[in-house]
Amino acid sequence: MGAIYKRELQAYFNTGLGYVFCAVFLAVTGFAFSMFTLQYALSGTDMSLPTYYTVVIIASVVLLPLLTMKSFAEEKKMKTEQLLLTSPVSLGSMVTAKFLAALTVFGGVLGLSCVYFSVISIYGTPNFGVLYGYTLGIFLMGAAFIAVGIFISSLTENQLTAAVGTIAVLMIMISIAFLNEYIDSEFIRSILSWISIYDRFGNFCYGLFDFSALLYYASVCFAFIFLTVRVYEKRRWE
Amino acid sequence: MDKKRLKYGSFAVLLTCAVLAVIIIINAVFTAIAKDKSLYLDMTKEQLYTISDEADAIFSQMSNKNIDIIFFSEPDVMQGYEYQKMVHEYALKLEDKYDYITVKYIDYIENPTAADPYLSSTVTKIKQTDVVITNGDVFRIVAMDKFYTFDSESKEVFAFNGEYRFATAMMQLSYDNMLACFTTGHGEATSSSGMVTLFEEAGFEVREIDLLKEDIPEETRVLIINNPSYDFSGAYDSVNEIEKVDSFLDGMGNLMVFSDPSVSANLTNLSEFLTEWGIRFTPAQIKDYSNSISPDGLSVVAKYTEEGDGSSLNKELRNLENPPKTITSNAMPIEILWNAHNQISVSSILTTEDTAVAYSLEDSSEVASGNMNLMTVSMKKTIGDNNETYYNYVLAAGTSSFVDDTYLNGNTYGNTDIIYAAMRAFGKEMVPVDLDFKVFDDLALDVELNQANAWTVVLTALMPIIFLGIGVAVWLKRRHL
Repeated sequence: MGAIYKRELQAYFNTGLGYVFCAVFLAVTGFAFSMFTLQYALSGTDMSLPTYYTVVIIASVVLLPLLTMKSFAEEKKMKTEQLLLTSPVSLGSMVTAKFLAALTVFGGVLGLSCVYFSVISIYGTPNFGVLYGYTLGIFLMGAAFIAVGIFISSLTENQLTAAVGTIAVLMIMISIAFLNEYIDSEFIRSILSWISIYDRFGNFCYGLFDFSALLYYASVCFAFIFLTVRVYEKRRWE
Repeated sequence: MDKKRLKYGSFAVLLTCAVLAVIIIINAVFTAIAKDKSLYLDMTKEQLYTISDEADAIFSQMSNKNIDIIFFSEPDVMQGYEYQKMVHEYALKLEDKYDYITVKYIDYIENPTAADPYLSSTVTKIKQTDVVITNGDVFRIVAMDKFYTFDSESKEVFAFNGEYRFATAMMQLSYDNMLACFTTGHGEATSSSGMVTLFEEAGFEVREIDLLKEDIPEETRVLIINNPSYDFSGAYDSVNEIEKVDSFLDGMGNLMVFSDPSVSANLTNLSEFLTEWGIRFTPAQIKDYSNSISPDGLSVVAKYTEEGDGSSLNKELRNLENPPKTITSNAMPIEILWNAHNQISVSSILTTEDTAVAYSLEDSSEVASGNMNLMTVSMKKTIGDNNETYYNYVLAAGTSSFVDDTYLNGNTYGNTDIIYAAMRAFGKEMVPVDLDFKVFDDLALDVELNQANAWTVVLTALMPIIFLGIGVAVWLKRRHL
């Protein structure tokens, strides 16, 4: 598993993908951060960190599928998946290794974005506990996105299809709770809120570190990694 | 064969569904437990969502009560509104920690008549954002804005006052009602006064009393003379109202007097009575153009006294980092005749600044200037039969608009806190003294234009350029290998 993890990680940075992902992510989040903190302050308005993190979430929805689209789709297209399927490494380890490689790239770039906090600490007194809580929530949300992306990548051999499909699924998972405004039944609203990845992040915006949200994101990761393994188990024995 | 069936085929599908079902069930159960037990970490600096030790000491004393906290929105709806959510989360914390507290929900939209039991002659409509706190048959309605504190200048919310509000409401429901009587029959505008609501919120039963026709009830804790236009009857009248007030004070009652400069000269009997308590209203109008919130100089921003017994009533306000302004509008000076006499000590609570000037109402000539008393307290100390010391008070304000709705509502000014402090002095068990509001995290930044623009460029471009540069270098290197 370690070897696959290293190989995947190197692959991101041997091609241009990793650098482009990091550059675009940091550019988008850097611009959003300065807009919703420093530029807001010029107009006499308080920082709007929930808005900044909404931008980070949307950026993750669009950019993370670019990391995951080639996870399995490329293997199928290049006909190298036979090597994977006959490898002595367990499918679970292999999928987990790919997941962890993508997560490492995302985690690294998210960690770099924490440098922005030091800028606002020069001009104000931010609550670092809340900021790091936000960041951990985003990291776990990103992990869930990556797991979804890897699963969808395993279903197709076309990378573009994998990317677009992942974006579509993530957008649905994020925005499903917006329907709540139009639903009278509290039971149905509760279910939609429960499914919605964005609603789960809501407590972080209020300064609350929500343990049920942590379990939810970890469960999404596990569920989609499990489903990816099931897909390849089926292929192995077909 | 068995292995193959397990790996693929219908058993595999069943296994997959079973695993997903277990994940869903674990999540659903944990989410329900987390909601029920408020399983989250409060990361805010002021612990906005946490019950403080001081509040715990108050709430723990009421365990023999049966408190319901009723919201008129469904819980998931309140999650989307920051201010409602905060109050709701705090209520859930209370429910989780104290067995005698239950949080309930009424769907006001589906069932608007469900709020009818809480309506009265003074409350004809309940808003969906209101919170009702009940203890059996008695209840208190708390508007959502009462749970927050507003900045007196910007009028924006800057702190959460929910702990105080919940504690106050529950304490009021837990103790026997005390009586506050407002005098009538002298032109007092009591029924339209925000002062009545203030006393009711503090747990008093409020009554109007015509001293010409009735005596002051024994259980009266505070008598309020609220801006009379006509004098009280005295020794030469068939019914001596002043004597009733005097007897009430001799019986350890407390008195609040609010008087307008334009009519104080008419209140001969009342003024003479107040001299026995060491104070005299001066019929003049104070203006302070340097310390006023109105251009005519009449809405004077009062200064908090720092010495004497009166300073204890403004101590909490004075000690705040940004004390709210207490406004006395259209006020007259109060002369303190002596500081101590016959077990009565007199001190100031609020004064004007040095820049204030008082003008005669007759000819507008200057009658006084500099620091003048706007609100005073006369405190009488009595040693009881069992050698215990008792105090009762006469609080006087040289303005009738201290208790205007403008200054009493919305937590923006310090006027409400001064009255609450006086109530605490009159009856310590009424209002929780040690619960401060919790200030929100400071999200303000002090940055200049060129700094903000420079950082915008740096944050947007620096790291991306570094990554792209490394990427180009790696690409070039691989091309030439």
